[in-house]
Amino acid sequence: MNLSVRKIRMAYRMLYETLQDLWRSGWSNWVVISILTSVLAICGFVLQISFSLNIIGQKLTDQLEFSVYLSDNVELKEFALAIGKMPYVKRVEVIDKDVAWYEFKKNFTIAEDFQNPLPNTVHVRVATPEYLKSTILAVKKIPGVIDINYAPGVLGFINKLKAFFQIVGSLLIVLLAFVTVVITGNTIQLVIHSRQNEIEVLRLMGVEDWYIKGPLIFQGIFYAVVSATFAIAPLYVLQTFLWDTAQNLIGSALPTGLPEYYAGNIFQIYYILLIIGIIVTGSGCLWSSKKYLKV
Amino acid sequence: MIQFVNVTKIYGELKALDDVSFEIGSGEMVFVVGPSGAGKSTLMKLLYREEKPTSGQVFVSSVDVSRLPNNQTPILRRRMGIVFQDFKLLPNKTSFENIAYPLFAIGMDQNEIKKRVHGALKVVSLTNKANDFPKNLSAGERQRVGIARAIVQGPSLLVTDEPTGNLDPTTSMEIFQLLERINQRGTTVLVATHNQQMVDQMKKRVIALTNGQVVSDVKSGMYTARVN
Repeated sequence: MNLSVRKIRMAYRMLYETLQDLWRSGWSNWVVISILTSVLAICGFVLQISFSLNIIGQKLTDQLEFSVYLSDNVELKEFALAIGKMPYVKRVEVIDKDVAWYEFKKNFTIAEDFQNPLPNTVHVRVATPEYLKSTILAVKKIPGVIDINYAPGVLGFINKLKAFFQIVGSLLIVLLAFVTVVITGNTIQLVIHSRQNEIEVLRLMGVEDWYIKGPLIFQGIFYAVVSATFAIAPLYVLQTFLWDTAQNLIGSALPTGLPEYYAGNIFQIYYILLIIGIIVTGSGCLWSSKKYLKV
Repeated sequence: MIQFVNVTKIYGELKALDDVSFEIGSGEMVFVVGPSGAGKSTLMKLLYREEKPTSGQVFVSSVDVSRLPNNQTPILRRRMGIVFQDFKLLPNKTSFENIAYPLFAIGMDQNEIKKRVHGALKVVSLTNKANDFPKNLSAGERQRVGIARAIVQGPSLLVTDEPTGNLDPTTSMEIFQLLERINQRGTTVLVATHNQQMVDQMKKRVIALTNGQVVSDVKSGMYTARVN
């Protein structure tokens, strides 16, 4: 008998057995699916928030440039050179007050005798956001610095938010994943119990153990696919909530293109949820078949 | 065909088989007799590798079953048929489906399955009951379906553990005659039983076990004289 044709027939029979097992499991299926859906929905929510906050953080980091305003008695070029030598400073841009005033006057009609009110300015960009605050503090101590303009609050808030969601989310996921593994295991145990006679006949008639275990694993995969599909739907609602909340909190600081980003990465999240679901249900199936199935 | 070499099997404190050695040639029909707890079922389980011996070796067709890797066990089992005392028929499947079930599971072609199942039903004289469910069959008919399922893969060895344990004397006789017919077709048949009357009538080789030891091994033997 052609080996591959035989394997295809066996795979077809395994799918058939899987459907029968699902039918036999009845309401137990929905218990597993509803809990796994909750786990995956939380997982997706945490992932989406982490991804979003990363994107926001990255975009803000690109804008992370602070401006230093200097008194007139400071030698501008020397100051810029000194700043440029500081660690983690990536770029320094000098804006002479006379040049800035000239540019300003080109756009606005101002009386000839009006004195230049602008200070000499230096735009500084640091290499990574975590060095922003320390660099600003160091620059502030230099004599002649009138003021510094920056927005560290938003970034700090974003980092805290991200850490909170990651810690609380991870704890919840681990807890619920454990519960799902146990419930999946118990459902599979019921299937094994109801198929006890069939399984004994099959294994004593020389059927390979992968054929006997296969339907149980397929059942786990089925749970994962259904649950991941159910879990992705509320994520759209959560995305909208997240977007609205973020707009209220940090408004104009939000980078453009986030909703489009969400739409693009929803499939990426679906695949991640599917893999997590398969790992969780797979663990339950393996645990149960190892404990209760003698092949 | 079968060789037991100094086989001992111990379950916890209980010695189920104690230094058992014997050989069975190809095409033989042999009864393994003895009182309950003598070790008959353990001996059968060692043959189809449901159990492993504590010490000693069990050979089936020159293969040391006791050292067979787990992934080779299905191949061994496909070469033998197993008949159970409680038939182990699936209640929601017809006779045909029960016999065909393991064949579907090994990926056999549907036409080949039909051919083989009808052939097996013919051997056990149940062609007219192919579409009946087990609940509509008598106990003897159920066991015949069990035997048909065991022989459907064309095994060279048929292992039966108390095949008439749940049957009346007349039906038991039918089953024993059926097993003899299968043996006459060239299949080695090993029957564990404590059905004294049948063993005495069949006049086949009898291996008697008591307390896990072979107490006699006689060709054309009798149950009574050997065990009691």
